[in-house]
Amino acid sequence: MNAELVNAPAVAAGLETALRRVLVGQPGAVRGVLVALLGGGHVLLEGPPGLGKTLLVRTLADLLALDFRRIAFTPDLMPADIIGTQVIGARGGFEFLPGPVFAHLVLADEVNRATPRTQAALLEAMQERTVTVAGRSRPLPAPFFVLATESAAEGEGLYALPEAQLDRFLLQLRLRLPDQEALRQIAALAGPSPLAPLPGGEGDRPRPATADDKSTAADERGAPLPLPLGEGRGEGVPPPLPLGEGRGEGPRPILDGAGLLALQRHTAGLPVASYVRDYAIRLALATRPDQPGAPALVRRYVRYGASPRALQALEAAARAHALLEGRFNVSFGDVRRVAPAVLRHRIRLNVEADVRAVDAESVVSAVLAAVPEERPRRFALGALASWRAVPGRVARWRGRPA
Amino acid sequence: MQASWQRERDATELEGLLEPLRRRLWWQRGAQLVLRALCLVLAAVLVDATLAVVGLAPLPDARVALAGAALVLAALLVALVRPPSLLSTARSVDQAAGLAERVGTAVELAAHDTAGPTAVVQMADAAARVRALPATEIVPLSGPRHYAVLAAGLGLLAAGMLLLAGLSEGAPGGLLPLRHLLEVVSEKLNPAHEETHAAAPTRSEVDARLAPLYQQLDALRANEAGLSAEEVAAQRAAAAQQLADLAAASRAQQQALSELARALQGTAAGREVAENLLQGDYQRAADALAALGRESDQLSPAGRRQLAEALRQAQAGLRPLSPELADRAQRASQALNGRDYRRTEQALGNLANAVAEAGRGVVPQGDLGQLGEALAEQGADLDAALAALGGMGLEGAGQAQSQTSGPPGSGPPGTMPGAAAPADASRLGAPGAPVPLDNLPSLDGAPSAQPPDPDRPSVLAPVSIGATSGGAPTAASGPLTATGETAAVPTERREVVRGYFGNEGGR
Repeated sequence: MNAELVNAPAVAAGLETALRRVLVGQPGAVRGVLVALLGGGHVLLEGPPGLGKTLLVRTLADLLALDFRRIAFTPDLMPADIIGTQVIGARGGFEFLPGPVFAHLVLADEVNRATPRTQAALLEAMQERTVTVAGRSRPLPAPFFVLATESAAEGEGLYALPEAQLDRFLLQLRLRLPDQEALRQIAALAGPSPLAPLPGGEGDRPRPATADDKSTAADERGAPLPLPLGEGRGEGVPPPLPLGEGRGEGPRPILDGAGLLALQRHTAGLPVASYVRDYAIRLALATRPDQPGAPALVRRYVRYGASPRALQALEAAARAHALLEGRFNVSFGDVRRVAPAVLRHRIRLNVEADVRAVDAESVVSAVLAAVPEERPRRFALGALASWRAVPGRVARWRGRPA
Repeated sequence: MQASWQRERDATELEGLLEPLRRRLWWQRGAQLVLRALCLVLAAVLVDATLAVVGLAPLPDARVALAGAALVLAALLVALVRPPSLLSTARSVDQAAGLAERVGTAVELAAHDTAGPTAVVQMADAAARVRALPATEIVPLSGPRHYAVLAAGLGLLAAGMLLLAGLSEGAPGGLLPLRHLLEVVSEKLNPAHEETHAAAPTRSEVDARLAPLYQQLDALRANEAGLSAEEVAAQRAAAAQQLADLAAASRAQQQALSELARALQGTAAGREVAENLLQGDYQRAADALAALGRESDQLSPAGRRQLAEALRQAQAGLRPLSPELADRAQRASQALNGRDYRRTEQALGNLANAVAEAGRGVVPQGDLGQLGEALAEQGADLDAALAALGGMGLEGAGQAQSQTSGPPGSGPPGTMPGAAAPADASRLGAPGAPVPLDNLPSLDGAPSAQPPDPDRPSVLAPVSIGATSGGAPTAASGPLTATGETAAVPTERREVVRGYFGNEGGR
């Protein structure tokens, strides 16, 4: 038996446990990020600042011993600032200077602040996993994982992501403010404030700048990342950083890039039973307002529902969730758990929904409530054999349009 | 190659693990389906029997039992011909043990011959999970057990309701003997019930009708000195005539009511009426009959038919004795055969009135005996009085005799065929004692084959001194007078009077 495959759930569970130790009070976000990572997709995060999005991705990079880059999206950010550009090299010829997208883990901060052109450059790289510069396609490193955040503020200077580009994200996760207990743990983990170091301690002495320091400084300015040439990257896929090197006191890695790829491969191979797949299909169909089984909320407020890609995403995410649950098969519960994060950004609501403040979250909840799991059939005598099925049948019958 | 072999081995092992569970699941679902159908049938019977108890529906009959049996058999058939598949078993196991579709997925992988390391690992995982679970936990038999308890409870309730409904109406099938047994036990436990019924009758009205005859005899005794011997004899003979007429009419009514009682005795609904009639409590019998009419809508169809048939048969026997009672019994029978409850109530009410009226016409034999004794004490010789009456030419008396008295029977005078011996007549002197109807001495010697004339005045008609109950204008309208021009008093009448009062009447 394949020992690597047998150990895959344990490795995934270890990854999750380590992430939870660092990112306190956001178990759903941790699970969602890991689902997207194992499912081979990308994540769009929503939430107020200060919830540890950067910490999450940085810790993930540490645990996986992968390269991490953060791109702060601004209105003046150009596509070349992301994907890289051609420069004249020392030998006189053009050399490709890779952009920050050439990293295993990329944090695209406030992606809706950049212009649509820049957004499209990133989203194309996400989808194709290649970058074309000067007519030459350059593959992105594998594994490649983008965690983008959206600014929740409204106003001038924001460019909302179009539906076609939203569809490229496997999951859309929403971070919520932690509760009292989580805040207490966060405060306990923080230790002494870095703003007030102890006199005579290590913090008083000047420390030579490193590449990470530059990157961090650039992040704080909100400017495009000034990538120094040939510093730790070079052409093509940068090698993963050695364990514990250049990352201060971060967590020790428990997996490398090759291990993550194997994990992703195993996840993609998990079987889905026919009746579970039927359930996922019925869920996707129920988000369409023209379908007879769609609930009333969908028929009234949804402009168009989930695409076929949404169904693929639903299966991929459910597989990853099953592995994180320690199983080698997908269950109804997996599909139900991942359905909100998979479907909410793929459902386009109409104007009436905006007026009545109906969000996609409630629509997906209505879909989940309206589509029952298929139970094993007993006998042909429906009501006599299974009385419990009657309310479900009535609900489905009521859900049909007149 | 190794993965394929391992997959085959896991698939076989999984099938081996699931097969006993499949059989157990088959049994569980089959039993549950049959018991559910049984519960459904018993609940329907319970509702039907409850409605029958409160009078809103007839008792469930054989058709209901057949339909219920058919439903249960159909459920059994479905359970037998549709065993659960292996996939269905696997999914049930997943559902019962919370295995998150592990076993179902493994069965699908095995069925589709899916190869690859993931399939092997998945099937091995599923087999390990199933192996660790006890069968009683995966396929518990608590469901069928609960339904069995529910079915037993419903069955007991339904049987109780059927029994309760059968006590007031014709009980179906095997419950009838049980009902009779309960009635016997009830009667044995409460004997005072019968005594209360027996002591109930009051006959003040009939007694009052005898008062004029007593007054007539008193007046005759007081004025005997101023009358001639012929006049005294004629008046005594007239009193004797009236007494004979009264006794004959009473006898006819009594026989009619007895006939009705015999007919009703065989019905469930009319048994109470019959018992009251046989005990001589005619008013109570009439009340019971009227109550039966008011509650006729609660009678089952079978009970209605039974009662209608009994009344129909009774009216044939009643016709010669009491045409009015016969007509009303016939109308009640016809009404019971129909579905008009108001008409049935009215017809049974009319029959009850007729029964009460006939009952009032029945004179207590003890009172008649007392009057006869008084007459004998005064007249000393009834034969002489009747001869004098005949000599005075009382035509009406002769006619009345021919109308009220039938041909003499084969037995001795004053007895019915097969009835009590003439010596029993001495017992008639006991006033107020309840005498069984069949043991009473007859005035006619035998049941009258000739029906009484319906135009003849009822025994309830006021009887006054000097008036006869016959149809002759002179005798009926004017006071009794001796003319001496009528035919002789027939011998039969003498026999009747003598037979009624015994040998003492001849003194």
